[in-house]
Amino acid sequence: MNALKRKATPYFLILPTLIALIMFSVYPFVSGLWYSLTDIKFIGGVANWVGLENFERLFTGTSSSATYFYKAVQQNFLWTISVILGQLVLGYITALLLNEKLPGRGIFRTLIMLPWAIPSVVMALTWQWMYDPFFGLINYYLKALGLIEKYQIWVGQPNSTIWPQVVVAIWRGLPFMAIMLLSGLQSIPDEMYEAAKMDGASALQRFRFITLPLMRPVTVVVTMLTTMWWWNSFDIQKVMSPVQSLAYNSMTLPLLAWYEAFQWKHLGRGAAISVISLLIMSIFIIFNARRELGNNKENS
Amino acid sequence: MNPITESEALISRPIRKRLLTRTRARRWLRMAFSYALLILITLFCVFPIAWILKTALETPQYIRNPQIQWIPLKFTLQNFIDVIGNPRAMIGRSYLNSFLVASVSTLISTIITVLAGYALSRFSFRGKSAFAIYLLIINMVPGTLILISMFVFLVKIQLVNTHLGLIIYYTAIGLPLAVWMLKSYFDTIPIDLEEQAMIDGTTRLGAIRYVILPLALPGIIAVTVYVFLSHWNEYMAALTIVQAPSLRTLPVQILNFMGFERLDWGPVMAYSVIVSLPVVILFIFAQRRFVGGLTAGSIK
Repeated sequence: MNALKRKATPYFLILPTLIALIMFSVYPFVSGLWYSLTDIKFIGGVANWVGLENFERLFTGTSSSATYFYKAVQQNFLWTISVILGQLVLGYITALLLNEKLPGRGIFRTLIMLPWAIPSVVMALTWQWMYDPFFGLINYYLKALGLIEKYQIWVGQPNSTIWPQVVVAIWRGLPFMAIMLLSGLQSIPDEMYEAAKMDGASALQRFRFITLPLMRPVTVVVTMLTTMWWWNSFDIQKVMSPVQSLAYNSMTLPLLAWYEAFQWKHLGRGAAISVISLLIMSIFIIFNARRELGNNKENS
Repeated sequence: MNPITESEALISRPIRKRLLTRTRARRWLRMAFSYALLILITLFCVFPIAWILKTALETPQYIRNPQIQWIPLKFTLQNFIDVIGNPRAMIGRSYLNSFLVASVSTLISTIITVLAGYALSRFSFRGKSAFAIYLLIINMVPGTLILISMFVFLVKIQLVNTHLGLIIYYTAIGLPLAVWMLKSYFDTIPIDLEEQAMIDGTTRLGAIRYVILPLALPGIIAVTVYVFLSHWNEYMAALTIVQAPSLRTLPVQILNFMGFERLDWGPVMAYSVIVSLPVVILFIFAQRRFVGGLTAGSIK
């Protein structure tokens, strides 16, 4: 009796979460996969099976979302890779600096965290104001530094590129990246550096042969996590896109899926775009997870 | 101070002194360089936030100024008064909506996930790893996919365009992360404490209630704050599920307001300050704790 009770306890404890997850997470996920194979309408919820028609339209179609599709896939790669690379490089520098026992680093740490605290919509709005073509401070400073000759219209045009948004995303994600990497750095024992110093290793060698290999697991996990987030990110792109028309040059998959589903009211096609996005991401994640697991096995 | 090594001890005193000053000078140089870099990164993180404040506190006719000034030319609270008095801003109403939706969904998800987090931390049971893996991989499913099927579901049960619909969606997306963070907090509490309590005759639930909860309370509060902030800031679902102006949450409402105030950045930035201030304070107050939970959760 007691043994049975002991076995049953964890299930009782996870039961409420499990029920909520099945109803509001597993069910929507599975039905979302199903909707991508149907012609489900915006109102009424009648879903007729259409097979792979939604996908076929995306790959071979010539109207509405199909015209944006290839560009959006390409842009989504460009967006994610550049955002994550930028965050990693800046995040590493920030984490290494915060890890030096400099006086006053607590204040720096708190200030560096601030972009994380601001609501994403507010910060996208603020950057839009800073990118203002006439009175924006970015134009002002870039011109003062001689980097541009005349004021540019950075965002909000149908032909605007993705790069101004990439800067915003790097700014936004830097705190999380830096703090995660910092916690990884702090878990490396000081003795290792001391010992290497004794053996005459230079700062660069210590970084190359101690920091980098020991930081590898943390870096991989954080990169995978943030890649998933930024691959699916929506807020910055939506706020900084033009209001009336769609921006061909800065279209990404989450934005396209949302427009298709909720602006043009083709829920099934929107789901199809999301499914393709999910497939690409899962290939990336499985590939990476496999390689990492393989590495761990070799090491142990 | 560097310990003087044996070889250094053999060197005559004046030379040793010179060597020491040289290493000291080098250390100073290094520190100055670190500080310079750190200040540069901090500036990058902080300047948009300073710009929000500056614009919000500037007299309207000086906001669109071809010269960039960081201190308001003529300090005023006019923008705040304008926003609060403007019926189109609907700031009080939206505040209430955001608070209601975010706090109810946060409360539900924290209450049910405390038990699940505890179970994941303390028991090994069949299906545990499947459960844990699901909580991680759900991160890579595009928000649009979940939103599309949630939308269909909410239409079916007639909860679209209601706060309850939004609360259901937020509860679902907040669960996985909350469970994960809570598990890592429970991991830090020694298991002996509750075993002792149970040997003394308390039941498992009694042990959780009287021993574990008080100890984990700071962690639970941190997770609550984190989940609350992410719901407070959420934009995509708030934009999609709720359409009636009187039901809008802050992120949607501030963008709507900006649509009215086209290019009049003073009131929009004042609005931004009002929206961000409480969450920034909450964030700074709780960040140390939830950062701990996040890093432990994702790195282990």
